[in-house]
Amino acid sequence: MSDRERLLHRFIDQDLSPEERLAFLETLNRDSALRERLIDMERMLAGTAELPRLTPPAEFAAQVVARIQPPTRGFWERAHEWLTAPHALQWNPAGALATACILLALAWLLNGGLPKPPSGGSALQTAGHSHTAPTVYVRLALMNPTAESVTITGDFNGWNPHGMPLVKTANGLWTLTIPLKPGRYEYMYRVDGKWVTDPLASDFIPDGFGQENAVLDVREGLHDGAPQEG
Amino acid sequence: MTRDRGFPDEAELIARCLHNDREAFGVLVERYAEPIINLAYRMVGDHMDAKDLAQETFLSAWKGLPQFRANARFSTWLYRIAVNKCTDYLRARRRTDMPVDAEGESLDLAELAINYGTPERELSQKEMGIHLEQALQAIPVLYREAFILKHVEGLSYEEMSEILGVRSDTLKMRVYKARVALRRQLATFMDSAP
Repeated sequence: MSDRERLLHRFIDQDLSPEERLAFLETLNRDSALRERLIDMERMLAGTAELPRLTPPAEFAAQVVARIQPPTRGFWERAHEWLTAPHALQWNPAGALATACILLALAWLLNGGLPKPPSGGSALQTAGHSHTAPTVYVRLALMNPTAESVTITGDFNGWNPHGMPLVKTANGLWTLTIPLKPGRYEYMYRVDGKWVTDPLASDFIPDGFGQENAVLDVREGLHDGAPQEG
Repeated sequence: MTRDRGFPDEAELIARCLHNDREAFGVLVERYAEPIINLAYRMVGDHMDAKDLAQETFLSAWKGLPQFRANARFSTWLYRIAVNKCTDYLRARRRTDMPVDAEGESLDLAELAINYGTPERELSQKEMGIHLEQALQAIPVLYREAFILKHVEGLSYEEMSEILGVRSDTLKMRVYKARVALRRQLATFMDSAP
C-alpha cells in the first residue's frame, strides 16, 4: 500500500493530525485521480447505511430463554441427595418375578453358564478387520504450562468448535491419543478459547482466517499400534 | 459502544441473571437480539444461520456470565462471543462464495441489472447497499469482520481491539485492505455508473 493510499485511508478514518490533514487536502486539490478515489470510497462506505437489516423474530428472546439449561448440580451433590432422601419401596408380583428371573440368570452366568467362544475366534475377528483401513493411534502433544484448557479440532471431527479435550500432565504438557484412519488431516488447537497452530506440525496450510492450519499425515504400517507424535 | 448509555439498569439485570433470573436474561436478549443477529448475518450471509448463531451467542453468554468482568462492557463481551461463534462456524463450513440467501434480494438485483441500461440514472445508495452485501461475502473473513465492526457497527478501533483481541494498528490495516478489496469487488457495478 503506497503512502498516498495510506493517507487516504487515514483521512477516511479521521486519523490525521491537523497538519497532515491540511497537507492531504492540498494534495487532493491538485490530484484529480486521488480526489476520484476518495469520492469512490466515500460512496461505497455510504452504502453501508443501506445494508438491509434483519429484525429478530418476535419470539426470539423467548426461544433463547426456553433453551437455557437449569443450573447443573455435581455428581456428589446429586448422590448425596439420593442417598439421604427417604425412599419408599414399592413392588408388585410381576416385577418381583422379573427381578427373580434376572438374578437367576446372573447366577447361572457366574457359575460358568456362558458358552466358551470357539478357539480361533479372535483371529477371525482380526482377519475381518484386515479388510478395512487399519486404525492408527496418533498421540498429539502441546506444551503449554499456563493454559487452563486445550482442545483440538480439525478435519477428523468436522471442525467441531467444542473439539476434543487434551489432558494436562504434571509438566504442562497437554496430550491426547486419537484413533485415525490413514490420511491427511488439517487441525488446530484451541488454547483457552483461542485458535493456536501446532508449532510442531509437519506441514502448514493457510486457513483463510489469518493463521495456518497444522497438517497431520497419518500413514499406514509405520506405527503398528504405537502412538504417533502429532 | 454508545448503545449502552440508554440502559442504566444493565448491571442490575446482569446481577439478577447471576441469581438464575431467566426473565432478566430475556430482557437482555431482547435488547441485543437485533445487533447480534445483524452482526451474524453480515458475517455468514444467511438469515437462518445468523439467527441460530445469535441464539448460540446468547446461550454461551448465559453460561459464561459468572466469568463476565463487571468492569467490561456487556455489549463488547457479547460481540466478542458472537464474532467467535461466527468465525468458528465459517471455519467449519469453509465456504468461500456464500450467496445472498434472501430470494427477494436476488430478485432486486435482477431488476437492478435491467435498470443499469439507463445512462442518466444516478447511482443509488440503496443499490450500493445490496451490492455491498454480496461483496462482503466475497472478501476474506479477517477483513470482513474488521470492516463490519468498523463501518457497519460503527465501533472505534479501541473497541474492536477489545472484541477481537488484536492490536488497533493491525485492525486499521485490515480495514484499509477490506475497503480496497470491496472496491475491487464492486468495480463492475461502480464503474458502470455514470
